[in-house]
Amino acid sequence: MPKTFAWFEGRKRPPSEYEELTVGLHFGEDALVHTRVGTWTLDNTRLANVAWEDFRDPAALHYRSWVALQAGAERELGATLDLAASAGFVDGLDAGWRREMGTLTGGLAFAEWGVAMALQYVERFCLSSAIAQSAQLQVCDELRHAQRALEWADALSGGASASAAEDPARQAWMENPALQPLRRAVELALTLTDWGEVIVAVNLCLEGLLQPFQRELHLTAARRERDMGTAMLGRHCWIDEERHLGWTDAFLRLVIDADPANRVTLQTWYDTHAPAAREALDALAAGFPFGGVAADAAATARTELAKRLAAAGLEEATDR
Amino acid sequence: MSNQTAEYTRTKRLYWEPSYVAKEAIYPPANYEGIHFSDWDRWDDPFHMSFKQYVEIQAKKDNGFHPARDAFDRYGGTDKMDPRWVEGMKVVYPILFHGEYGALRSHARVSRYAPAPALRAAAFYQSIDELRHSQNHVYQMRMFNRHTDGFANWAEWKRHHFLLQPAKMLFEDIVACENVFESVMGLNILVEVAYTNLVFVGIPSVGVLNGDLAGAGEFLTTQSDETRHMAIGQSTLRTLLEGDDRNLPVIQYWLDKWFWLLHRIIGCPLGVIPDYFAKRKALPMRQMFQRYIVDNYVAGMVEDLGKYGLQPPRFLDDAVAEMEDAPHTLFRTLFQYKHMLFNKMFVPTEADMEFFGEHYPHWEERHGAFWDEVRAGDPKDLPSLPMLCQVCQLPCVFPVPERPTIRGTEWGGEVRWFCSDGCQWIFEHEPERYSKAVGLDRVLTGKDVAQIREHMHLSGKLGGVLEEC
Repeated sequence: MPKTFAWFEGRKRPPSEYEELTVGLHFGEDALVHTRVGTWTLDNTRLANVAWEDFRDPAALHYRSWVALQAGAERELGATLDLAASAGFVDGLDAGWRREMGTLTGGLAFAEWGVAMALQYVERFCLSSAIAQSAQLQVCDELRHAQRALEWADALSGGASASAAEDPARQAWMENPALQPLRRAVELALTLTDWGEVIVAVNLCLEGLLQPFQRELHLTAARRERDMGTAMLGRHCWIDEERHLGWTDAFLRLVIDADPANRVTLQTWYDTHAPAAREALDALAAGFPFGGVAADAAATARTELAKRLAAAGLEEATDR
Repeated sequence: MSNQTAEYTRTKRLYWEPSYVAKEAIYPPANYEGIHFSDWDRWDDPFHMSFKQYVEIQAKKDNGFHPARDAFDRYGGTDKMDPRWVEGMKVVYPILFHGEYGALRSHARVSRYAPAPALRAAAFYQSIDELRHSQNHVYQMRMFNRHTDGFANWAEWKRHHFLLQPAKMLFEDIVACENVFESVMGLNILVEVAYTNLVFVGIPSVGVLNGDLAGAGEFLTTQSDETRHMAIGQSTLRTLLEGDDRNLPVIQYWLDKWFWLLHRIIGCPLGVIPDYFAKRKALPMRQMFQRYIVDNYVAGMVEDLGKYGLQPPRFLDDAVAEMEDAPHTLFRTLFQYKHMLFNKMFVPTEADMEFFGEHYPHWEERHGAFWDEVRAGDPKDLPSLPMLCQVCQLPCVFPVPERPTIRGTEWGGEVRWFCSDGCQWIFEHEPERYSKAVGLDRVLTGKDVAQIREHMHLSGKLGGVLEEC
């Protein structure tokens, strides 16, 4: 009897559990139903000549392993945040720190949710079951971050307000000048209709800068302020985000290796969306300086993105 | 405010009104065109789920289900299943996978574009549930594949085999809905409220009699999530009906349409499982249909929502009448294509016929002669595919092959053929949506059996007759 499915036959090594559960499961392109939104056609991205089912997420998670991982992570993070809020540790933090970090964290929760919504589009329209799963797990992770960030922002600012209009996190997201370039970049990304472009705009340009920045900021500044809750939140988010950047890099390699013309398309998209992402980062670093920690975090983020671009064979946009 | 509600409220808080781009650019109204509602914020998710609760609950379920399946297989459970049941599961699992995978991609769009923030959040959890279900079905096929043929190339068959084209059509159709509320009506109401109890409760109760404890466990854990999905559908349906009278005709059309599609593509074919592939039987499909679909779904919905003007499904009477014959008609048809299948077929035994005679009063009169001729030596094999319905992609053989109710409609300069009034009615309401499908009967016109098998990715040994039954 066969040991695996037919589409894995003839390979030197047997497929992993991740591959058996994730790869090769797309419906196919010969649609029986035709509507305005349609199902899956090759022309719903400008990226061409790619064997989409060759995509592999380096994290190799599937539902069972992901849910076990995140259930454990949520227990750990939840225990820390609960303790910090309920046992009075937050009260002991510097009031200025609480106000500034609470505003930033609450505002960023909305950005996480925006990223989740953008990735939902990728999940729906992309041409590979494996890419769809990576996008879907990222969507879930981003929701996790958004909910936890709001919870922690509430704790830092002394509790959630009764009405949406008075919600300090929402006010920050809608009005704080330091968050407006980020909101603009997220809103623009939500209007894109090529799922490949969404990956570039969101996961390469925006998350590629934002996530290393948050990691550095949360850990370094929180350590200085003895704020274990913020540090823990930052650490947990980064563990997830590192996976997201990892699948994004694998995606870039796949499409560039498939056809050199795709590199040009990716570069065009990068050049289009990178300025908004850089503006968002610069505004965050200027608006939430945390005694110079933010400037260093932004510099680290730029360096890390430059390395990822170079590894993918892409170039930094030339507008700066 | 409880912790659960506080956590849920955080997700609802995350919606914002965009100002750097037009709201319509992010949430295009075309995605819910024709649906009227004054305050989308009023819509509520009855489960108030948070991420933390979700992963905690689901990890517990997985920790129970997967080790049980592993133990079942390790201690020889798969080999001890009744062989007929295994042949039936070769068809069931790819169809279920189609459904779950279509649902996850469909609800990715609902959770992105639905106008109500709470519905978007609920659809978000449903989408990830569907990933769970689709992968659990793959786990089941992976287990079977180590013991028997007929599972190895299931993903190719679901794209290319005529037996799985109706499911491909049905779930592509749900994914392709332009209006997100049509997705919710089709999936959450018709698939989940109407049919999942039949599929995930009715069928495994028969499976257990035939040694399929792993399948029962898997269906049970799937159904535990479906309860939430049903609540999303029911809540949406009620909210829209209460919210604005103008929604009624739109919703009534969707419910009529999807009732017929589900009946035709899931209800009719599914009947061959409890009636034929189950050697040890429980309820006949006809009674299951009456209990789960007519008494539970239709009567429950009309009782609950009739006050808003909602009527029973337009083709309910046709569906009820068809269940007298549908499992038998389709089993006969499949038997005639046993040389083009990835599973094996068999001739009903004396015990089967006794069961049919007891539960289907017209069985002997309408189907008995076919099997008499088979027993007399006529293999009944057909050399080319039957005419397939333009909408549902099933053969035009209903209610019985000797008297099919074939309907035709001229569109685009040619006549399109349908298996029923229901499919014709759907086509005539949305011809652009359904007219471009090219059925495998047309793709494979003029091909011989070997060429048809090659097109459908069938290797040499697959199909044929199951000797041990």
